[in-house]
Amino acid sequence: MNTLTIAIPTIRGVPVFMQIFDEQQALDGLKNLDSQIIGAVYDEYFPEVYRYVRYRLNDEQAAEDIASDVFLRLLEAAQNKRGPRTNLKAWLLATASHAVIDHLRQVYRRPSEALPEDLLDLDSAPHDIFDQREQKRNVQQAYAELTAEQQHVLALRFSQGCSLEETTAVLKKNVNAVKALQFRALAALQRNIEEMNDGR
Amino acid sequence: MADRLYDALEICLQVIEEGQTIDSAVKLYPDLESELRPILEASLQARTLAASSVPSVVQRRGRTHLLQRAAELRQLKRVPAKRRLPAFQRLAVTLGLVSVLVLSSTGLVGASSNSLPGDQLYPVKRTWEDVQLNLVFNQPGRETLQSQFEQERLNEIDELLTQNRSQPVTFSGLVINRQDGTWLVSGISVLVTSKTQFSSAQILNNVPVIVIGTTRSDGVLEADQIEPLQPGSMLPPLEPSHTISNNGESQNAVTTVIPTPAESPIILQTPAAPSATPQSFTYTGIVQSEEGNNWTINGQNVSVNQGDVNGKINVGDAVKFEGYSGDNGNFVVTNIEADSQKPSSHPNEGGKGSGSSGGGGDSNGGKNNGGGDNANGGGDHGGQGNGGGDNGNSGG
Repeated sequence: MNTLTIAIPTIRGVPVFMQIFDEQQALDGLKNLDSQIIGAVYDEYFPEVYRYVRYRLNDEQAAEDIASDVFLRLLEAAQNKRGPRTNLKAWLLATASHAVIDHLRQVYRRPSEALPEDLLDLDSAPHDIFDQREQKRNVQQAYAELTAEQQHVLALRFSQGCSLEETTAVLKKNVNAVKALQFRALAALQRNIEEMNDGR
Repeated sequence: MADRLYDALEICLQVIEEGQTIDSAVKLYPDLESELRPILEASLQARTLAASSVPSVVQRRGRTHLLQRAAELRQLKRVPAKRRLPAFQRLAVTLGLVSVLVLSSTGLVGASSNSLPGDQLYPVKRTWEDVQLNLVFNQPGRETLQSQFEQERLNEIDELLTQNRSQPVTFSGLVINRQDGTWLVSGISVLVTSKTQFSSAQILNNVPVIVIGTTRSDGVLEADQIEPLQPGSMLPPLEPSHTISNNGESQNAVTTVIPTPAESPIILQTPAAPSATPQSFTYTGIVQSEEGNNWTINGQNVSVNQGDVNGKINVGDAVKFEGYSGDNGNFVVTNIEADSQKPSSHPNEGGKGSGSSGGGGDSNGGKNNGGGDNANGGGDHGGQGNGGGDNGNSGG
């Protein structure tokens, strides 16, 4: 069971640290709009959510907006009794995945909206230069061409190092299915990267 | 085979995660190296996409935004809670009060139904009667109800007398008998003293009157005032449901009282033209027997000359008849005809009536025509009293 350690506001200038709740307490605190618990939950999980979204989108601003929005959704879901009941992290990452998909739909629906700069400048990149930045762009492009589910599983495994068990919890699939999915995702990524390299 | 490849990939990923190289990882599965190596290289590429850290400014902004939103939700939660809870409370309180009022009023009315004059609940009973009357809009139903209430007055007085309680009372009834200063008015013994006030010079038998007096502890009602009823007033259809026996003990008179025919209240009609002595009255009722000239109508013996019968009248027919009180106490019919406004009550047609009454079904329904302001116009016919006692007082 996850436990969180947060910094309680100082008392008479002396900071007081204490272990205040487990995940169930966190869920209760969210429901009761407990500021301390909300802050603790945010501090605990925001980096993971942000990195996940950042991994999926390669867009810092969108990642910040979406990651923040995921926590707002958590807050409101907790009020409406639609929030997580057990695995808070899995709920946050799954919600982040949906938010990313929604974001991508909006981007594709509005082509005038600027896509991430890294993805648009590929054609202008010099073919004979394969520095680290260019290689990263290729990987990003190769990744962007994966299916959403493949992107999802790779983001979970490599953005922050979710374990296989954590990934199964987020994907709501069994272990073997997740293993197969990540194999196909990496194989597809590898093919895409090769195709890009061959294309240059 | 595929499952083994997937498992091998997972093991190799964990090894690399722990800091090992791809070469080290694939050595675990030399037979799968050709498949695993490009996949593992792709995994290294995938790791390069991960952001190294979260900008602290981004995290602070998000945190502030989230806590601000939490504060807004708290405020929203508080405001509707303030509004919703009192609204719910108001509704609950209202429903509760209504329930209490309905239940208590229903219970109150129920409890008051047996109250007597002088009881604390008696005003509730009378008020409820007024309410009931106001809720009846058709005239026949209203008259029926009024008649029932007048009957209730008689029952109350009878009960007061039974309980030897002294209470001022007022009731309407028909003068049945007058002897030695004691009148029998619809089965109630009324003591007429020198203090009793009469608005009319003389009141005859079979005259509907209103009696204002006081029940005495000796089982007699002492009249303070006796007045003829105005036309259109209601009379109780029967005697009180309790009668005082000769030895003064109260007895339930169910077996001696004809059930109240709700449809047939006695109604004083507009008086006929003043007539000379003997005073004439008009009634309606149900013929219960015909034995020569002696008929029984509404439990009352009447003398009927065949020549005065208009049309053919059978037992059970509703009739309207006119006559006067004879010297022998019998009511002498001078004219009788079928009453087209009243339904017949033939015994073989399932007419109303109680087997216990012995008097047949409709004991009343008689209409008194000619009472009222000319009640004292005729002579004193003395006592007749044939309607008292056992089955009804309504007949002529």
